Amino acid sequence: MLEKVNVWADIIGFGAWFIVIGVFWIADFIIRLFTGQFAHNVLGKHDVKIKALLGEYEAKPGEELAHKH
Amino acid sequence: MAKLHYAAVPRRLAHFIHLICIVGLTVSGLFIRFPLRVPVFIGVDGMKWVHYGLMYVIGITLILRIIYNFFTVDKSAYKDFAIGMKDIKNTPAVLTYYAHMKDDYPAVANYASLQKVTYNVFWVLLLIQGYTGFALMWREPLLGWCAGVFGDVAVAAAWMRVFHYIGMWIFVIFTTIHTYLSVQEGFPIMKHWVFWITPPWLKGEWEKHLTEGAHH
Repeated sequence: MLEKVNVWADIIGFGAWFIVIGVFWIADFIIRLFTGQFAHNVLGKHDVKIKALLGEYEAKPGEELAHKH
Repeated sequence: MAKLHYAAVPRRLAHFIHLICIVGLTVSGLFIRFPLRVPVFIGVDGMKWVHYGLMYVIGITLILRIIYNFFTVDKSAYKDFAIGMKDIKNTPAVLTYYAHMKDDYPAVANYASLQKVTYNVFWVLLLIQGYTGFALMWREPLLGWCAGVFGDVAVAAAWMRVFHYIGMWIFVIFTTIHTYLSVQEGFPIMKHWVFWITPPWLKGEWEKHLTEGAHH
């Protein structure tokens, strides 16, 4: 019984941890990259590199850019 | 995005010590659980001593942090963790914000409702981890009262080890989310708490807080 619970704790623990990493550190991060939230919240600037690839963003006059091409 | 407020030195120091301890306890704890699969030069016995040492450090820091919450000049310290009706009502807004369905950060207090839940989980879980951990060392005094439920003290201790391990996973999962969101949602706050980067205007806010506290 004890050993079974231990093994299930291993499986559920590692499984849930990997899911959390997948949801937050990977999926949510990709969303934040494409929506510009990462550039705004973390870099403090508009991330032109990503938005320019999508043809969405052009710098306003005098605006400082995170990535210049 | 959450607003940056000044965090007093004892708060940041306790947070930093906890950060180091949690990383150390998790690594050493996993090594104790999987001793043959992760060879380390100090061995299982060495890792146990690291685990015990960090356990005392985090335990003492937690007690001091609780005392700090109630008996120091930082009078609002404990209020930051209190969950009220306004926090419960605000939770759907917090969830929709984190799900990228809402643009504005729904601030009703210093910490969002789910933040408060997380921080409360941390200290409650630390107490549980402390008890289940110490119970492995001092079996008779700490497990004598409940040994009958499990069969005997040795079996009770074996179950405590399992509960301790499950508690570790809950702690690791909450910490993983906490670490990610602290970078994404509060980068200046994370820099202030972890790397002690303090803009000059923040110190003025702290002095104002102390002055106001003295008046009330």
